[in-house]
This record gives sequence, C-alpha cells and structure tokens, in this order.
Amino acid sequence: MRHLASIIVTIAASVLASALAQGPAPDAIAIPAGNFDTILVIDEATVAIEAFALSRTPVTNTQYLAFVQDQESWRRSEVPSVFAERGYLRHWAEDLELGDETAAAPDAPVTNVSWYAAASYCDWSGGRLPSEYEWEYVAGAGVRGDDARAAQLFRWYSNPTASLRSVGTGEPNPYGVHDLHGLVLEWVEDFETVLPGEDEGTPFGIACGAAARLLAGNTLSDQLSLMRHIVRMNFSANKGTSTLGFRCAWDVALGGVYAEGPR
Amino acid sequence: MTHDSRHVQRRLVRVLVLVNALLLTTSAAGQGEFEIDGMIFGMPEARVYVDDYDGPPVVGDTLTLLPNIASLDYEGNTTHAIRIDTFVQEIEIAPGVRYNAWTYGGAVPGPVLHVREGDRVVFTMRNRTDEHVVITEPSSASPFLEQLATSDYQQAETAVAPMPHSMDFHAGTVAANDKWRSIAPGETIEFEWVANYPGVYIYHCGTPMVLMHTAMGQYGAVIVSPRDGFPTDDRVDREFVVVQSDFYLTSGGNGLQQFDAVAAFDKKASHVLFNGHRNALSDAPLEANAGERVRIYFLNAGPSLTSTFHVIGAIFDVVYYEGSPENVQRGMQSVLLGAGMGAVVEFIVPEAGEYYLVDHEFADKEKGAVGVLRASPRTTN
Repeated sequence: MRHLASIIVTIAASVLASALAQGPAPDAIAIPAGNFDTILVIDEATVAIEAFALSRTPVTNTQYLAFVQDQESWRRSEVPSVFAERGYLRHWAEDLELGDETAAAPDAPVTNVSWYAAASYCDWSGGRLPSEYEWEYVAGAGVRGDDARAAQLFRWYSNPTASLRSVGTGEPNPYGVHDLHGLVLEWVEDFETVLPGEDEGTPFGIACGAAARLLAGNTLSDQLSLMRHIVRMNFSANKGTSTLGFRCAWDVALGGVYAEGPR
Repeated sequence: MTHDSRHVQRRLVRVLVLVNALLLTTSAAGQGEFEIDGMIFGMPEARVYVDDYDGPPVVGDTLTLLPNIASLDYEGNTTHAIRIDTFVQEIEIAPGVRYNAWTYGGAVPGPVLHVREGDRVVFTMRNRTDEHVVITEPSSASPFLEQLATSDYQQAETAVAPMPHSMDFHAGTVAANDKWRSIAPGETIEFEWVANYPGVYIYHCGTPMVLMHTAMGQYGAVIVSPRDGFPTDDRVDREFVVVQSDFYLTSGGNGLQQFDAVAAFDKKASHVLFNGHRNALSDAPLEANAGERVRIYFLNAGPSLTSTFHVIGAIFDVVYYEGSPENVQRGMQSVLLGAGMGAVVEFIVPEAGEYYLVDHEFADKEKGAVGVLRASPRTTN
C-alpha cells in the first residue's frame, strides 16, 4: 500500500507540473450561457451552463503534432503507459511524423489519444476539456428532440471509420461548431462520472441495459446521448481508440477573443 | 468560483481519476462457492485485464458453427476453458445485403456452445473491436473455426468499430454487475459459471443500448444437455441447431447497410433470418432420411420479435420447452417463443421430400425466416 501511495504521489506531482498555456491561440466559438435540460433522471432536471468557448473543430493531427513537438514527454516513445497505453498515436508513422495512414491525414481529427493526453493538450492550449454537460449542451442544438436526425446519427456507429475526413468540412451546427456528430467520439472532462449504484448492482445500476430507465425522455436523441455517456464511461483514462478524439473549451473569464456563432 | 480555483479543481479531478484507476475495487462476488440442491453458486470475481493476445478468436472443443452441435465425448462433468472474442466483421445476411456486424467470434449468430448440466465454463473474451481480426484462415482451435474455413456463408471481411461490449450468458447463474460487465477495446474479461440448469439458452451483449448491440449481431446459443439426457436421446438420428433473429438495417454509404434506430424501436425488422443468412438453410439444407427422428435445438434470439416455429409437413412429436427434459409437450404443430427463449423440438420425417422450417408469423417468414430440411428415402425398414 505504501508503494501504491508513492506511485500516486509521484504521478500526481507530474500531472500538476505539466506545462500550461503555451499553445497557439484557439479557434473557438463563444457559447452563450443557458439552461441545459439534463438527459438522466438522476440529475437535476435543469442545470445552468455558464458562458464558455468551445473549439470550432476537434483537434487535428497537425495541431497535436505541434503539441508533442513542444512537449517531449507526450511523444509516443516517451509517455508513461500509466498516462497513455500502447496504441497511443499508433496511426502515426513516428514520434514526430504523421505518415501515410488515412487516419493520420494532417487535417483529420487526432485519435488514439488518452484522456490524460487530451487534457494535457488543452492545458497547453490555455483551456480545458469541456464538461459532459457543456459538450451535450452544444451538441444537442439541432438534434435534441429530432428523432429523424438522431436516427441518422445512430448510423455512424455502423461504420465509424468510413466517415473519417478533414475536420470542419461539414455543415456547422446552430452555434457554428463543427463535427460534434458523425466524425469521432470525443473525450470530456468528467467522462468517468459514475451513475449512482453503477458498481453496486442496485436498481439504479446500468449493467445489462437497465440504463434506459434513467432517461428523462424516451427520445432517440436522448438515447444517443446516453450511448455516448456509456461509451466514454467504459474507457480507461489512459486508453484511446481509432474513433475517439477531443476538442478543448475555454472559460470566457479568460477574456479571449472568440468568433460568435450564428445563433 | 475563480478561474484559478476551477483550474486547481480540475487538476484534482485528474488525480482522482488516476487514483481510481490504480486502486482495486471490491465487490460482493468472490465470497466462495456453495451448493444448493446439487447446484453450484458463488463464482469467483470476474477478472479484467489487458494482454497482447492475438491468437484464434474462438477457442474450445465444443464450440461449433451453426447448424452444427458438438458431441460431448466425456462421462459426467468437466470444465470447459473457452474463448469467444468480440470484434467486427463485414458480413452478408442476404444476397447483396452486407453490414458491419458487431459479432462474437466473427459470425452472426456467434458460435454454438454445447456443455452438460453441471459442467463448469471458464470463459475468456477480449474486446478486439479496434483490431482487424481474420476468421477465415483454418484453425484447429475450435470446430467453429474449422467449419467456418469451409463454410463461410456470410463471406466475412474484417472491419473496425471500437465499442465497449459485454457478455451475458443466460445459461449462467451469477451477479450480472460483476460477470456481465462491459470492457473497453483492448481489454479482456475472464469469469466462470456452472451450467446448473439444462436448456437452450441465448448469450448476448448487455452493454447499453442493448437493443442496438443485439440488433447489430451480438448473440448466440448455449445448449446445456441434461445430466441424464433426454428420454428420447437413444431414438434421435439427427441433431441441428437453428437460431432465429431479427435485423434492422437500412441503406448506408459504401454499399453497406446500417443500423436503423427508428425501425429497431418500432420492431419493424428489415430481415428475420435463420442462422444469420436468408439462404443459410436453403443453400445448405438440413439433411435427413425418411423415418428418422430429427431433433432441432431452436433459439429465438430476437432481439425483439416472437417466433412461432413450425416445420411444414411435420408435427413435433415432442417439445422440451426451453430445453428442459421436465417441460414436455407432445404433438405440437408449432412452438411459440418470445425473444431470448429456446426449445428442443423433435419430429419424425414422414417421407422423402422437402420440409420447410418457418416462423409461422408470416410477415417474418416473408422477411426471410425460412429454411429447408431435405429428406432422402428411408434407408431401413
């Protein structure tokens, strides 16, 4: 136990010591404050979202390459497995070379990144990962309550790697944000939030699909949100997959200059 | 809250995530085995780990490809160490209808597991949904892979779709939150269960949204033969396994079909099939001779439709409902099964000819739930 404690302290220290705000100015959209009707009945029915800024697109391979060029400890050959398991950036040719794989295209979203890596990138950019509520607040625009649209988005899961393309090439959502759906899944800051009783097998557990009872409304779009929640929740913070990327958020209190969305 | 304090808070969250990942969690499982009425309960806690396994995705002597069932060539009980990995394959379920299936072992339905009442199963499953897994190369790791190498009727090709998955064996009596828990791509789960009750059981993925995971193909059959056999065992000449399931697909890009969430919620299947292909039991009919007693282990895997299983021209001499020798029904024209239910049916082949297996709910038959048993003339008098 002492050994474990010392590992934790060492790691915690290294996390806290990571670099801050050295990245380029964000390409972000100002998101106005508002109320978010939560998706799960265990939450408060409505939560207030403060104004914040959200990256217009997911982080690309090129952008992430700039990060690891600057931050040696996040290079593929350098990063400790406790922060990024094998498989980290496996679609790249080398530590600092993207290579020829489709997924490694310069403007394609970076994938195969752990939550720690994503969070550190956002630190470096002077921002942070969006919370799940913030992400869903923005992603629900134009989708929530529209079953036909939600059904369309469900189809992405049937063949997720086929839709890989450059970020920002599709239609923006009502806020002016791109690629929240249909490109990659995205990490959020609080991805590991555990539903009450999830581990204890209580009536509120979600093992074997008892999750639908937690939905506030039985719409396809809320099923889609729940599915995202379940998928993210099941990943370990030091793992990534070929369909999991991220984008960053910024507190408006920082005083940055952001594009205004069309809404 | 100031920006600085929020920042510190987020850093602390990150440390907590790390601590959570490093600390072992405990559960109620693993308190030791106990016996009630000759049955074994109280299995050890499931183990989840990461390794480099890239071997055969289906391992075990009694795992077969539909419609085959393995014979149990041992006396009494044994322990089966089996592996069924979960991964994606692009498969055909009808001529010109292909989709990226979420599979167990590379086929839809997955491999048939055959054990005996009282046997123990030590099960291993790696989530390989973020890897390309080839299933069509010959392998002696399981009869399933051997049979697939010669009868790849779904024409499988490798594909990738990373997703957490789990395994729920209805034949097992365990705590679902432990054994049936979800694992992420790259993770492996290992747990055991004892086949306490004979029957024809489904296994399926229990990860939300379960409707989608099962509709995408994650199910299969477990046959638990009774400890002392069925009373008709000595008279059975042929044994087959047939699994019915419903699919909810719509046109997508790249010439592939995709999941239709609206149809799935409305239970409006695009295809209802036996053994995962519209032509599975007509391109390769079940074979028998007139006068023979045929046994079919039939499972309606769903995920959502009922089945009224009927063989045109035959009457079920005996039905063991849900596959228990104690649930005996005689002279049945059909057997009605909800989603996730099974039965053992036996009939005597009346004469040479063709006997169509159908779901007598005809909308489902028209969507593909039909097969054929081809009977040759009687060989003995």
